[in-house]
Amino acid sequence: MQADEALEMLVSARTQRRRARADLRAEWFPLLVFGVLTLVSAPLYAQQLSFGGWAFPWVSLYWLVAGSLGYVAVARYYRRREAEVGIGSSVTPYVLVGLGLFLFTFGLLNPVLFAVPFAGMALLTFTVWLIPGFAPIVAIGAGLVALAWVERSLSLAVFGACFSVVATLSGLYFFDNRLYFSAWYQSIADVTVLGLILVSAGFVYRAVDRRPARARGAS
Amino acid sequence: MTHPTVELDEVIHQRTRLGIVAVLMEAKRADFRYLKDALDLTDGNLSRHLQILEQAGYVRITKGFEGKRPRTWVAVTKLGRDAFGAEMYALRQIAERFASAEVVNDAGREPGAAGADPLAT
Repeated sequence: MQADEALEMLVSARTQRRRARADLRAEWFPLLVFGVLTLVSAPLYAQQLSFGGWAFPWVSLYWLVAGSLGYVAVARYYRRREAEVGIGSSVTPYVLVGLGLFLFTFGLLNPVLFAVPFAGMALLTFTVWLIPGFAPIVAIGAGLVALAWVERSLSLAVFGACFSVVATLSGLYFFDNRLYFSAWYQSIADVTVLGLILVSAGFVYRAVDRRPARARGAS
Repeated sequence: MTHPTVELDEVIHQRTRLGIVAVLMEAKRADFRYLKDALDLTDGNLSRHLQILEQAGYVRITKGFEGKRPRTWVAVTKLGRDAFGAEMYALRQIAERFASAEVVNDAGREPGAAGADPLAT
């Protein structure tokens, strides 16, 4: 076999893989879903305002229900897309990691993690006290990193990591200033901005979505 | 040391079959129509290649219905993944041998000789 032929076959295989990967990607959908969910959650952060104590955690309840439904919607969308386009990747790891992170942020896994000395306490501190209300948004970013791994998308991995950092910083700022009312109002603005970032990224990914022509026509 | 061509697997080394497995390496599964469009093949041609890959145990073919429409899904097996990895490795070895042979040949040529790099000092 000639070397140039080997090189040609390598390039051809790489091109096929790249095309298949492009056809598989649908990052825009989870970005839009969780962006909209984040935007809708913003007014609920105002209800956290309370005098002399913690109010009922409507935000936590909202994220528990809406976040879980969000992942169900994402899983259903990927399945539908697979039927339309004719090629599908397994998003199960993303959905499992995403849902796991949501449960983690609500402390549902903490009793289990308490079995590990110090780890449970650290996690409880993180989820309940350190970034109240922001933990689910951090979890969305971390979930996106898992999706990036599934879809082998470097840009989404970078975006998800940066988004998680920004959401964490917003939560830490809130925690530092939680005794001031301005911090509560600031948290509403922060959540709105974070939601807008997700939605904007969703539209950008949608614009560069390269689905086959027949699938575009079918959808 | 054996020549890398010895390690080439005749089943997957064929260009179209390599393309089929390359697509499947990225996906959980792909349907017959997608593979046909992606690789620009006829129904008969794709069927023949899939049959060869299935007989070698490199792909798994599942036939079913979606509504009233028949649908054929193809997925790569563990054996297929391993074969694809080995094939890529062998192809890279061949390409690298060629590249290093080129360097040796270029170094052996006298400046100004026919075929020598005119920019080389």
